[in-house]
Amino acid sequence: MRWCRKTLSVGAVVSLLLIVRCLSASACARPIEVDDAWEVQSSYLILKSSISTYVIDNDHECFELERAEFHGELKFFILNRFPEVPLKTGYVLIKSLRKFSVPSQKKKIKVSRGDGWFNDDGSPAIFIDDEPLSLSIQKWNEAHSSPGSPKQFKDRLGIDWHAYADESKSMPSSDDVDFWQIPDNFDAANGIVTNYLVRFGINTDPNHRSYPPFKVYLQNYVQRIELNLEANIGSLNDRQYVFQFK
Amino acid sequence: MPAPIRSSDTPQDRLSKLLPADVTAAFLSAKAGLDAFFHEHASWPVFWTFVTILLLCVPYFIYVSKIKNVFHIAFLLLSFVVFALSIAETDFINVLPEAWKILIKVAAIVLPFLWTFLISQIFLGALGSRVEQ
Repeated sequence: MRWCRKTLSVGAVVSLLLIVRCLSASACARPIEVDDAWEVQSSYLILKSSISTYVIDNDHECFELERAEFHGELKFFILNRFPEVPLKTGYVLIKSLRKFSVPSQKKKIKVSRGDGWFNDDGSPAIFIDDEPLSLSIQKWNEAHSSPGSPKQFKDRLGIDWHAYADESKSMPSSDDVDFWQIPDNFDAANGIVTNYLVRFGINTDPNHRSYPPFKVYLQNYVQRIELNLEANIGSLNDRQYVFQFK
Repeated sequence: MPAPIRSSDTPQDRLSKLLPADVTAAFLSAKAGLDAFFHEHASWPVFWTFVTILLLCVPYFIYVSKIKNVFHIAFLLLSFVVFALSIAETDFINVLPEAWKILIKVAAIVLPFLWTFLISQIFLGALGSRVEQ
């Protein structure tokens, strides 16, 4: 009986510690760690480090991450399993606003484009990784003040970046110009905007998964990253996630 | 009654055989059920299941397994903790403070080896063979 009492006391102490931990939690959530991305059901965005796989769920808008764990880049993966979606091609447009603790580099806007996109003439568009643009934020916003085809945006931006998600010149990434606008409250002195185009063939087989990737660079002085997502798939559309680091 | 430990057994096999099958089966089946129901949100239910089984182990060992030796009960309880840690590592990480993450990851790898190949042998040597077949 004495052992029972001792064990119950240990249980009570553990419970107390857990309650204290819950109460002292910061405003930003710890992302849930999983053994394998396969088991994830409630979200479509995964973050991987060299030792862990995390779910970026839709219950939280802000996540706190351990900087040292990610070795300079956040590797995100879209969980491509959409048995209910009647489309063949999926795309996700991503606007990443990084805030640094020191003045950021001179070129404030960068672009990236994953595989699978198409040029105006139907040819496959090349992969672009973190290409800096010489445009100012004002010029970028002006370029995105009116709709246009990817070809027209090539002239406006000076780079062949906007593209079509489909070979038949449908689903241009330049369709929603409002999404690409950089907000007025963006701290241009200490920030960098990176714009991503991610495209993939939609997987409708519930017994299969694929993980289209994109990565966000995490320099030592990055304090905060805000990711804005727009997609042609409802569960990924119009999402915003904030990441803070310690 | 625990199953016989063989030299070809993995550390997890050995751990589960140190414990009564009812205890390991209860935790394994509960974890499988909770994972299937809650998916990535199963960590808290799994953790509380672990705590509940750990608490129930004491009367179970005393009244069902008829173990009277306090050190033997403590050894079996710690074996269960090591066993649970090795199979529910990520659940423990999600529930316990973040600062413990690396410690839990290392413990989940190292402790089963240490426990089954070293500590259990010391225990058996010190208290006599109650679990070895």
